[in-house]
Amino acid sequence: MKLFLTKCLYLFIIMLMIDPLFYLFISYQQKHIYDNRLQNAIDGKCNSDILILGSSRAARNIIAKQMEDSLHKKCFNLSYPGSNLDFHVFVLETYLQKNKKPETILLTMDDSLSLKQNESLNFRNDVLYPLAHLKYINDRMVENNENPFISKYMYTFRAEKSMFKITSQAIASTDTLWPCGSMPIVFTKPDYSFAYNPNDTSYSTVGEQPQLVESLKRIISICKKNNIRLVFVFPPNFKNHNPSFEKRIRNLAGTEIPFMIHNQNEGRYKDSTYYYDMGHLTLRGARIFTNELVSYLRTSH
Amino acid sequence: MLFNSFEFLLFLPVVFLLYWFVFNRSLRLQNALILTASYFFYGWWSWKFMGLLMLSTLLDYIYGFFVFSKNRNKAKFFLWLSIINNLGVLAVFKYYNFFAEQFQHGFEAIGLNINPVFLDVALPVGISFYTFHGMSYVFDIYRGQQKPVRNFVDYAVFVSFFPLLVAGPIERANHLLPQVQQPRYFRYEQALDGCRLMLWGMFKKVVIADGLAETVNHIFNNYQQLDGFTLFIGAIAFSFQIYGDFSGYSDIALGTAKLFGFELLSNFKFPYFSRDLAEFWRRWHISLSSWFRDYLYIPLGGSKSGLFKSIRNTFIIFLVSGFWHGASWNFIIWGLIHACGFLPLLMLQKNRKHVTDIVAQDRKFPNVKEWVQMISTFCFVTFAWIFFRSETLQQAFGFISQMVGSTLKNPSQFLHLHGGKSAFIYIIPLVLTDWYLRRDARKLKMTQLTFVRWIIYLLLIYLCIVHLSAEQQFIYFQF
Repeated sequence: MKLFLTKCLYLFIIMLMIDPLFYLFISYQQKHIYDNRLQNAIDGKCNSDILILGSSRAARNIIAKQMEDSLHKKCFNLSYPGSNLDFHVFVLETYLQKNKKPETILLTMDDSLSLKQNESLNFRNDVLYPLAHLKYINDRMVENNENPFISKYMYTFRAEKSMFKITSQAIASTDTLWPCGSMPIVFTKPDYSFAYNPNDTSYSTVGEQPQLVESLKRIISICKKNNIRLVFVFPPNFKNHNPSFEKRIRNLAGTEIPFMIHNQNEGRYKDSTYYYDMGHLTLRGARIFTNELVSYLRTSH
Repeated sequence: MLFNSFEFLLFLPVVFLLYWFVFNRSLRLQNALILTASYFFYGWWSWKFMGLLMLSTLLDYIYGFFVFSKNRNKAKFFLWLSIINNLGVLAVFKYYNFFAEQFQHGFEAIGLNINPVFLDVALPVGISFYTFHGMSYVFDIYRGQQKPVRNFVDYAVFVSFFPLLVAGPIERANHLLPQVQQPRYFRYEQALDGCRLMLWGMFKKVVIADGLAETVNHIFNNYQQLDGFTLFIGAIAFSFQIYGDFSGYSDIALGTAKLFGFELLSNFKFPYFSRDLAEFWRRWHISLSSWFRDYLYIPLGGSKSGLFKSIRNTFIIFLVSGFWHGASWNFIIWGLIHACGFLPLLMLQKNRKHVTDIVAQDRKFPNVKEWVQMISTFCFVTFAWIFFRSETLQQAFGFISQMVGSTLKNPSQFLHLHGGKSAFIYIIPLVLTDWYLRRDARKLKMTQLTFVRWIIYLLLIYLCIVHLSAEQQFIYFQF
């Protein structure tokens, strides 16, 4: 038994000795990531007057650089495709830790999906993987059950198999990150058939996730507490604007928070050539919508 | 609690240390600790169903005394009571909804609409395993091969020993109970063997099976859009996934038991090196197939009561085996396919051709004939796995027709699948290691060079840790 326990102890000591190498390995990952916006936010390098939050509909449809040039205010797009409200809260809290408070936050809503569990919107744990050597990030990953509790004490348990890919990470044609944080697309989705839907008018609260509703309320309360102007933004889809969903968000947001809804009489929003797919504009369309947003921000103050 | 969870990583050393250092003064204390730990292990998944496990254990313990009676009528009565009790539990929790649905469909077919009550209850983990433990105990007593155990704790340890509680191997009373009742001593080599087995099992589960699961799930869920070649690869990948998953679990179970001084029945003996289907079933899930052989096939007459009865018994055993895996037509068809594959061997009396030997017995590599035999057996088994993996019969037939019917439109489609392909690389060391061990599984030590051995251990440990990003349940937990 003594020999057995001694060998177990040796194994543990060897693992402890190897552990710092994992710290180096994971921090090396961080230098090779394509999208380093979150790292910049953690490091306090994202200071902006207008901050854009949301999922792909914010990342693709709002061009922060265009807003900055028009409004002469620093704008940054910190939206992540496929992210949900939980992730937006995390991004906002991370941003506020080391960056100056923005004057305005534009929070983009995903039509009908924002408050519901769905496959396309998630907490983007994959964005956190390359930053797992940071305590703050790892703590969140433990909270999300992405990393085990023991990873708080051993870097070995923060490693993830995607970090060991021999081939370099393929960059998709939709990975179009601009320095301003926006990710516009210049082409229409290949082999995609568009069908304009003018009849989407209803919204049911059935299936709403209480946690996502709470996240929405949390964003409102963080902005209120920090005296930040929050604007809910509804970009166009290749369908009509859904007034029932807007009403639901208004009920949750209260009367004080302004809503910016795209111009429903704009004919180009009904032209599929301005779209990548039903939910995302191409760069041409995004420029039109961003102009509209700029006008709104100029006049609404 | 899952073997591939961090809870188990804490649980095991704590129980190990208590077992050998605190409770080592008496066998009774050690068994009481094992039973407590086993119930804790099970209760971690669901405290609710622990009552069912305890009740099932208690009833078979009591039946054991009655079945031991010299009055054969009384013994027979209580034997049947035990069978009804165990199968009844299985029927309610595992099969009730299936039968209710079949009745509903049957009545609909003749124009009658009935609305049977469906049970909204989860399948208790390990139910198919611990009920079979209990039944084998009562059967063995009835057949005079086992005496009833006086000490309830000893019997409860036999039924609920945590390494085998939720997914086997299905132990026999006359194999495990004597080990429970005799003092156990710590043996360094046994414990080390146990650790090696656990590590190798963990590698098979976490790195190979879970790695392949990503690709397999994608291929089976989107088979309509994929070409025949990709589906073929998907079917092969599932063959290795289920082998890695289940044999990995069995290895961890056997290894864990060794740490506590127990030797469990071996459940896998390199089944994909089988040269025919009969050999495959002597090497795959051995504890289940031997259970059915001893308690169903032989009592029905086995292969010694004429050709017709042999064929009938073969079909019964394979259909029951399929149904044991789950209440679904898929599993029944899976069993039927194996029965049909077994039939020619039975009729030509070649089903016992490879009982004692192993492929390439005295050689390093198989000869051409053996290659052909192994590959054809593997292909047959892989074909049957399609039914096992599919969620519905429609999906299985759709998968096969797409696999066979679609031309190789785009053979590179497989290469463009998202993620999970790296796991295919690990199949190579798995096959090579299995080939190396095929004559003697105890050679898992691999090399006498300590330094090399430690490097291999560390490599396996780190591969497991890195791949253990999210716990994946074992496939056989659902049975």
